[in-house]
This record gives sequence, C-alpha cells and structure tokens, in this order.
Amino acid sequence: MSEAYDYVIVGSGVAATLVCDRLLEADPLTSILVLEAGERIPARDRRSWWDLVLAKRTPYLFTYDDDKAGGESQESYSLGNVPWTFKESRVRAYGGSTMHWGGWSLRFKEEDFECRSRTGRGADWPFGYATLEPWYELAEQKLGVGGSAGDEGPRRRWSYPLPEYPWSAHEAELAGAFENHGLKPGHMPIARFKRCMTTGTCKYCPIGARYSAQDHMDALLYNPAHANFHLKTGAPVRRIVANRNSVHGVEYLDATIGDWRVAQGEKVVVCAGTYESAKLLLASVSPEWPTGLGNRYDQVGRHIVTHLLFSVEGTRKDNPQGWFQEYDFPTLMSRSWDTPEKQADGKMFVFNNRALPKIEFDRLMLQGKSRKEIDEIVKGPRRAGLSAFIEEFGDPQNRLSLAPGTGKFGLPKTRVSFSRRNPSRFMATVTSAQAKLAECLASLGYERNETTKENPRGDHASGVCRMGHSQDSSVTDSNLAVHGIDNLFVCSNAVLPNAAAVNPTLTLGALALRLGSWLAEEVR
Amino acid sequence: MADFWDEELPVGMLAEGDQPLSMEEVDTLWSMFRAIAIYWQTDNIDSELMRSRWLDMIEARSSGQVSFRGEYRHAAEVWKAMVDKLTESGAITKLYADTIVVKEDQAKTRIAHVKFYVANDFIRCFVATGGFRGFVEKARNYTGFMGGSRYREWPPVRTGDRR
Repeated sequence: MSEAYDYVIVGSGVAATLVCDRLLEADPLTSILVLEAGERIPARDRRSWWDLVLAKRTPYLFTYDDDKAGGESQESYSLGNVPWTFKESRVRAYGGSTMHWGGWSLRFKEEDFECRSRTGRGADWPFGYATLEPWYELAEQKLGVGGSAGDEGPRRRWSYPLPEYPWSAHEAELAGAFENHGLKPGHMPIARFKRCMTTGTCKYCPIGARYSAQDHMDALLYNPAHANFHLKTGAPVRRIVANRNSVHGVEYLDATIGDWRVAQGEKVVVCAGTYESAKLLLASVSPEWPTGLGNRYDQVGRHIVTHLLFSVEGTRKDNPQGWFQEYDFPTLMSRSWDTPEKQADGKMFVFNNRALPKIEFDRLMLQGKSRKEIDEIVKGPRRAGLSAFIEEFGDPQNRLSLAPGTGKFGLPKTRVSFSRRNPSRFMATVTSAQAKLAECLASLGYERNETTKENPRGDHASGVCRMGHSQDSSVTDSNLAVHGIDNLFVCSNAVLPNAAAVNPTLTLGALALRLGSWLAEEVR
Repeated sequence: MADFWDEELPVGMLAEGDQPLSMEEVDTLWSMFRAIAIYWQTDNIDSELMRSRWLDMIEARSSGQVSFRGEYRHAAEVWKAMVDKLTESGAITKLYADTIVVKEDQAKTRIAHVKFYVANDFIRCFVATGGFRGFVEKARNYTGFMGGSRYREWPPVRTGDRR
C-alpha cells in the first residue's frame, strides 16, 4: 500500500467522517488515509449492551482520561483558579466521542457568529450564520436529527428530517411552568434515526439508532467503490511534517511494524478533537515553526472555553401518577435565555434533568424492599430537576498546552489552565438563573433542595485553534486552513471562535461538510 | 450441619467450565427468574413474554472475557436444592426476601453467590424487560426497555404533549 495520499486525516470522529463523506461523494476514488490513535470498540455488541443495562459499565471506559492519580501525575490536569474536569468527557476510539454522546443537535443562533461585535467579548466568526445555514441542513440530514421546526431557534428553511420526540407527561407539566415563567418550551433536537427504540441506553445503543461516526465511517470504508480509502486504528500521530509554508504528511505509529513512519498527504486535515488538534500543532515544530505549526503569534491553545452546567432540584410531597424517568434522555428544552439580550453575560440553554423523577425499581428490589414498600415509594415524594449550560467567553490567559510525558494511546499529556477574571459577576448570573428555575419548580409544588454548579468539563471544549481573519488573534481562516500554511486544515471544536450556549456537535458537523465540499471543489 | 446453600464459598466468580448450560439448568434458572414476579406480586406481568430477552442475556453473559456460566450453573444447583427442601414458596422467600447481597465482598456463601452474581442481575433484567409495569401499570418505558415503536403514532412514554 502506497503511503502517499490525496488526504491524510487525523482522527475518526464525526468531523473526520463528514469530511470523508463529502470527498468521496465528489470522487469515490479519492485517496484518503484516516489515522485514529484509539482502537475500535465493537458497536451493537450484545454483551456490551447487557453489561451497560445490568452493571452500568460501558466498553469504552478505558479510553477516558485518567483522573485518579491527582495533580500533575495525571495524563490530563488543570491549573488556574477554576478546576477543569476531564472525567468521562471524551472517547478516544474509532468513532470518537459519538460513541458516547447523547445526540443533542442544535444549531448555533445568528448572534453567536457576531459575539464580539455585539458584546465586546469573545470573538466574531469570519462568516455569518447565513454561510453555514445550508450545511446545518445537510448535517441534520446526515445525522438524522428529529426536532420541531416551530420551536425556538435560528431561522431555517426546512423542517427537521425527522419529527420530534413527544414530551413525557412529567415534561409536559414542566412545560406549562416554563410558559408561566417566560420560558418557551421546546423539543430537544436529537440525532437518532427512525429505528430508535427509546431504550434510554444511548451511551451504548444496542441497535445503532443514535448517530455514531463509527457506523457512518464503516459504511464509507466498506463501500467497494471507495477503493483508495483506508483507515488505521492504534495509529497515534506525533507530528505533522512541514517544510516552510506547506506540510507533506504526518508521522504516525504503524502498529503493523511497531515503528514510526510517515504518511504523505497532499493535504492534511486534523480532526482530532479540541485537545489533540491543538497539541498536534504545538508538537509539530520545525525551523520555520519553532513554537508549533500556525503558532507564530502564540495563539494555538489559547482561548479555551467550554460550558458550565448548573442545576436545581426540588422535591414535592407525592407522586400520585407514579411518574419516573421513562426516556432517560431529555426531550424538554428552552432557548428563551439563548438570545441576543442575554449574550453580554452569557447565553443559557435550559433543559430537563433526564434522570428525574427517579424510581429505580431494581435497586429497591435488590435492597429487599417488599411490594408494599415499593408502592409507597412510588407514590411518595417526587423529585424534579432543571439544568442549563451557560456560555463563557474566550480569554487569551486561558490555554491548553502540552504537558511533559505521554499518556494513553501514545498521545502527549494535556494541561489546561483556566481562570475567570470576574468570577463573582459570572456566578451571580448563574445564581440568578438558578433562582428563576427554582421558581418554575416551586410553581408545581417542588420545594427547592439542591443546586449544583459543575466545574467546566471537556465535553464541549473549544476555541484553541479558533477561526478568524487575522493570524495574530486566530489560528485558522474561514476555510479552516491554518494561517500561513497552504495545505493544513483543522476541523474540530478547536476552531469554534465561541462556545455559544448549546452543544457544538451539529455546528462541527456543518463545518466538516462545508470543508469537505470546499476541498472537493478546489480539486475540481 | 449447614444447609447446602449456607455452605461457605470464596468471594470471586466461579470458573465457567467447559460445557454449555443444559436445558434442565436453563429451565431451573428460568423458574428462579419467574419467581421474581411471584415474590413482588406483579400479577399483570406475563413473565413468559420476557423469556427471549432473558435467554439473550444468559447467552450474552455466558460469553466474553468474564463469563457468568459457572455462576449460572451453581445457581441452578442451589435453587434446585432450596426448592427441594423448602418448597418453591420457601425458596422464593429465602432468596428474594431474606438474602440481601449488594456488594461483592458479601458473597461468601453459596446463596450469597447466587444472589449477587445471578439473582440481582435477574432482577435488573426483569425490570428492564417490562417488569417495571408490574409496579406502575400505565408506565410505558424504562431504561433498557425496547420501548419505542416503529409506528410513530404510538408514543413510547406516557405523554402530556400539549400540541
């Protein structure tokens, strides 16, 4: 097999898959090598699914960042006045984090593309919502997103490809409270295909209903028309080989020979997630790029940002209907705080706590509760919860960098330094929002008894190779090409200039489809 | 002399052995599973409808790196001994009411092994394959239950959609 390709793609998650989808659609004989550091986790494996149902154990647990050692001996650790959580926030395996995601698929809104112009905070995108809108449509089709076009959101030309999931009875009651408190209730857009059986075990879907990049990539890989499309797992990339203002390929570990080798590519596309995309650029030093590719102005790794998740819970005295978590994924949401008016202090995306009301019949039975006792518990106090993501803004002092040493899968260790300049102002916004959500619950008889604010998590981390017009404040241009390098692209959440208020995956999907189509058009 | 099921056994899963479960062992385990509905009086649940999913679980958990087959075989032996001596009703009470084992380090006797490595999973399987409806009859779905329908006119959950 020749080691020279039209494209070398690093990573095998949703971004890599959708780029490949477009390239191969345009020309099935495009030569592509996808390199994935992790392994293949078998999908739709009965034993793995039963282990999840019975023992709450997933087959990709070992791919998560180690977080037991503590401090700088962990493979990923944080500094700064705000602890950054790495726990269970990314899957390093073939298919990437779509192996464990919940499928929430929301578009960013128009104002998210103009954040700095509107608020003086964060950054503007190098293009507006209108540019990305047709790619959002295509991404919703590719991912099989079900939703309701009548719900709040940015403008859209067409309905969702699939209908929304109906609210559960509990969520319908909450929806009424939303309306009475200035929150318009909507239906969570979710990337599930028609065959979803709502088992609620989305972390490992037994039938491949929830969109998984592994399924999609497999379909591309095993299509006999794609004769020049190859993928290798267990193949970490340790540097991109560059000469002046172009790259020639990547150096990766070839498991078949147990040694490092170079795969040459006319173009290299880094789809390795936020952390690994930035780290790979930083690790790829050369005389022309002594601090890493695209890093002439020390921008790679800066502006790291994610969502903070906060919640409120309450308890009411009884549960006469015997409601409990029938879906185990949320279908109620609201974007009424995800508006231009809220943008200056951070927009918020509100949704139901999917796990409540919780009745774990099996756990009660294992504890030896009798039928009578279980009946009393079912009709007894009922808990409900509401959660929200709040947007934060990129700050150059916050950065991701290479830590000394190597972690799992031959990848360098990760260090995140994250601090808030005005934590009291930020937390005041969160506390005020929690109070409003508690009022919603109180109007239904739930007495507030718990509020939480989680530390920032890596799931939605972004910004470290952000797009922009100017290379002294950004890493990639509007076509996701690294500034100053002709043939190197980054396509991961790393390129998002802002985190907005919602999950980034659909936006990443749109960017990947746009990039893949643009690359294919360039060749033509 | 202690009853067979009260004999001591070390903590840790039993070796799976070479032979697959016999039909008799499977039927014995099935009666242990059906006893869950009897003990918790989920009379509206027809356990027979769960058999194929239960068999799928048994087969799946009898394969792979950590096989439960040795525990299943042992459980069938213990359950049969309990039923023979205590009658089915007595065995049901002994296993599901009197024996509570929720941590592995508690599995130090034969019956504790049966409870921790087999019966507890049977309970989880029972609930996930429809047993939850035995407690709330109008409920439609639960984590692990194949609740959705290919016909979207039938909601997979109890709804209150206001549109």
